[in-house]
Amino acid sequence: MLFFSYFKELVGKEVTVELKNDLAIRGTLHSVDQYLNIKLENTRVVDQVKYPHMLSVKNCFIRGSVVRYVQLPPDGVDVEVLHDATRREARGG
Amino acid sequence: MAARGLVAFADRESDGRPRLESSGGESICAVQCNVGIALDDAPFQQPGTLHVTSKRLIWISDADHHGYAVDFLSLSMHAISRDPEAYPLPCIYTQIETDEEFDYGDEAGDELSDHQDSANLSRVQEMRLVPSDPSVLDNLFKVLCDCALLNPDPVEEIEGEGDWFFNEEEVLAGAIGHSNGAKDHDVTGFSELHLDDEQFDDAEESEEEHPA
Repeated sequence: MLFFSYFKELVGKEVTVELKNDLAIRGTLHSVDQYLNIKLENTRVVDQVKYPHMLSVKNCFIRGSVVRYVQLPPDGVDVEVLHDATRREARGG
Repeated sequence: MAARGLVAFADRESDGRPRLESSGGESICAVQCNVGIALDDAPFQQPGTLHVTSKRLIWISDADHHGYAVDFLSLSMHAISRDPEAYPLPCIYTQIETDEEFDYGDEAGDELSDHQDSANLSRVQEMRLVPSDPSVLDNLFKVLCDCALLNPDPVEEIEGEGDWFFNEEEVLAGAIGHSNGAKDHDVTGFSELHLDDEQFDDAEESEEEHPA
């Protein structure tokens, strides 16, 4: 549940979700669930030249299992918080 | 289970509704009339009825009752598309995970006809659902999100995953012993170690002892 808890903290921030089919979608993280399904708002495709057919969509639901990477905003990465979270996870709590 | 992608659907009850899987508890979550469908870059097809079940999307043509179905497990993403540059009509845009990704082969230019063979269907990577009334898009999007949640991927046991330790007791007392198969034996003296023992302190900085 570590990633779930962590991603929940990023709601409202701008992230880039890279899919396993190489499509990268940038948008505001609207919500994430326990399966790491991701909902984005105000999305846009990063490489519009490569994916001209995938122009801006307003809302987007991405299945957790097709996500390869989530690129985080630099200010969304708090190393101390992550340390604590991983310790808590290791203790099963 | 591998993603099946898009398949042809023709299994209808006598009243015209789709026949659901009797085993596995498939149920209808929403029905939307007057929904057109477009597969990949093929032309928009005549309106039909969209049935959202707890397992899949089923679209059946109003005119000749041909249809398509796709499992939620195969739906990589879905989105509301209202930008006329992306598609001329407001629609639900979906991407379908296929087994043979990007294997367009020599038939890349083939126009999909109304009655595609199954080989072509399983290669479809994009599907647009175009309701004649765009005001239903938001609700339809929500229904799709809710139903996707009913269909988590089967949990795959990743090799080595079982070696993780999940509680403090294991980590502190048994981790080393467990991984060596010595489950019931305390590693010699391990639990008596105190991490503030002097032996764990950093070595004295030797520079300080030299005169400047």
